[in-house]
Amino acid sequence: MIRLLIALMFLFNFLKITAQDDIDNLLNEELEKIPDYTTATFKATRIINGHSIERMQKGDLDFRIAHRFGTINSGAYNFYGLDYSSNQLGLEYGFSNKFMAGISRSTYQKTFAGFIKYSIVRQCSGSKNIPVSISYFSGMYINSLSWENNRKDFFSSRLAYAHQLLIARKFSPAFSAQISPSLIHRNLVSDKDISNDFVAFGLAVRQKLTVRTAINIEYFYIPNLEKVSKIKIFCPLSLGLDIETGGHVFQVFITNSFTINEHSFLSETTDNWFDGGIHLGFNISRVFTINSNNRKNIKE
Amino acid sequence: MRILLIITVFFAAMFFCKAQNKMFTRTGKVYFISKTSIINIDGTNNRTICFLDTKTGEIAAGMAMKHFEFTLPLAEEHFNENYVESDKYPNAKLSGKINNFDKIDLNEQKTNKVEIIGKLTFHGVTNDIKITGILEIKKDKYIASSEFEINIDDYKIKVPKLVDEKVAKVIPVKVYFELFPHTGK
Repeated sequence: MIRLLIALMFLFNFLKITAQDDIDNLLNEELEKIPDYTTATFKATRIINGHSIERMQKGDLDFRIAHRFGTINSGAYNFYGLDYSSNQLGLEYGFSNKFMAGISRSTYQKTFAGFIKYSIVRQCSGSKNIPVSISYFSGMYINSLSWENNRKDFFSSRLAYAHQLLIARKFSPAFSAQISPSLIHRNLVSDKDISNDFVAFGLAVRQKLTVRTAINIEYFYIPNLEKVSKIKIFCPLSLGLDIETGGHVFQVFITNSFTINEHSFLSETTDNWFDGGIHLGFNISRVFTINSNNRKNIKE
Repeated sequence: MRILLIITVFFAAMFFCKAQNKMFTRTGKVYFISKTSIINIDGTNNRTICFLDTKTGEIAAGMAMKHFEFTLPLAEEHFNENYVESDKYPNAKLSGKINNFDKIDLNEQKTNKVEIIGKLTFHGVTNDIKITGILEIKKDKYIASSEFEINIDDYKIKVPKLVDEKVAKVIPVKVYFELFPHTGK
């Protein structure tokens, strides 16, 4: 009889556990079904010079100011490059959580530019397994300098295009990497030996230092540099620091490229890291919410 | 004889287990607001999961932190990246029991004041919690709602000095669940 009692006690004890365990298990099963989409692979829509896979959220407007100063090797007379700068002002908007577009004006070659970026897939873990996030970037650039070429001034001669497939993976909460195969087309090039189209391969990594700061390294490898430009050019290499303060993201970096648009920093980076051809640069991003209708709230 | 008794008890227990009814939702709403003189930051999670065991009054609720939606720009990213660290701690969970649940007549369509004692886990920290709420019995569903406060220090949420004045220490939370019978799917 004692044995029976013990058995009963065990049984009821077991039951008592299962009652709470039961719904806890059901809850855990439900939670495991939720696909965990990766967010914040990078802090901003740019890594340093190039675009990251990140987009603006729907209804958010990003006002951007980007600067590249002169080279550090230009000496004390030029205050190590700070006397001289190229800049870009831009407005970029998230039309949906997957699609953004932007316009900008840069001082270098008085360039007007527009771009679109679309998120094709997002990295996801949990019930759905997608190893990488992929975005497509496409930009168009208009050189608006007064025409000083012997050729006739066709509008089409002023245009250049960039296409990039941005493929990124957030390996851990702190570490992300991206590769960016890129295709550039220029309608007009300086010489018949120079090709209108060329490819570049970007590689970038991001390592978070604290929750609000991260370091980035970005490199674009360009095969056949002599086919891209008549003047000797170098592959762009940049090292940067992201600092985030509320609605701002401040990116400060050193890079060997002086220009800011994709077609241009990939084909016109004439400075070399190894002889001090390094530019200090920064990007400032300020985000405003223009349209918050999509963000639902609980009834009071 | 003894064996027969054990078998009987076992089957009774199984029956007891099966007969447990559960009410359930996948679209529970949880709203919070951080109110300071400088800025109000509010977020809503419309995809909270909740199970209520109608035999015992035990309750289990949970959500993916990434399902919170915000009215302010970048707030979602800051919330997930900097405060609740959703990559490390993806879910928040409440596991508890309604006090004196057997005194509630589930056949009567009325509004009952309830008290829940349990454990709330989020940001990797589990704390005992006691919340009061309302359980409204309707014809085909229960409506569970509650308002309570959580102190972010209790859950080791770090707020940097720089934005200290923009984030409230005590966060009011509102919960609204419409629970329907759980069919097992």
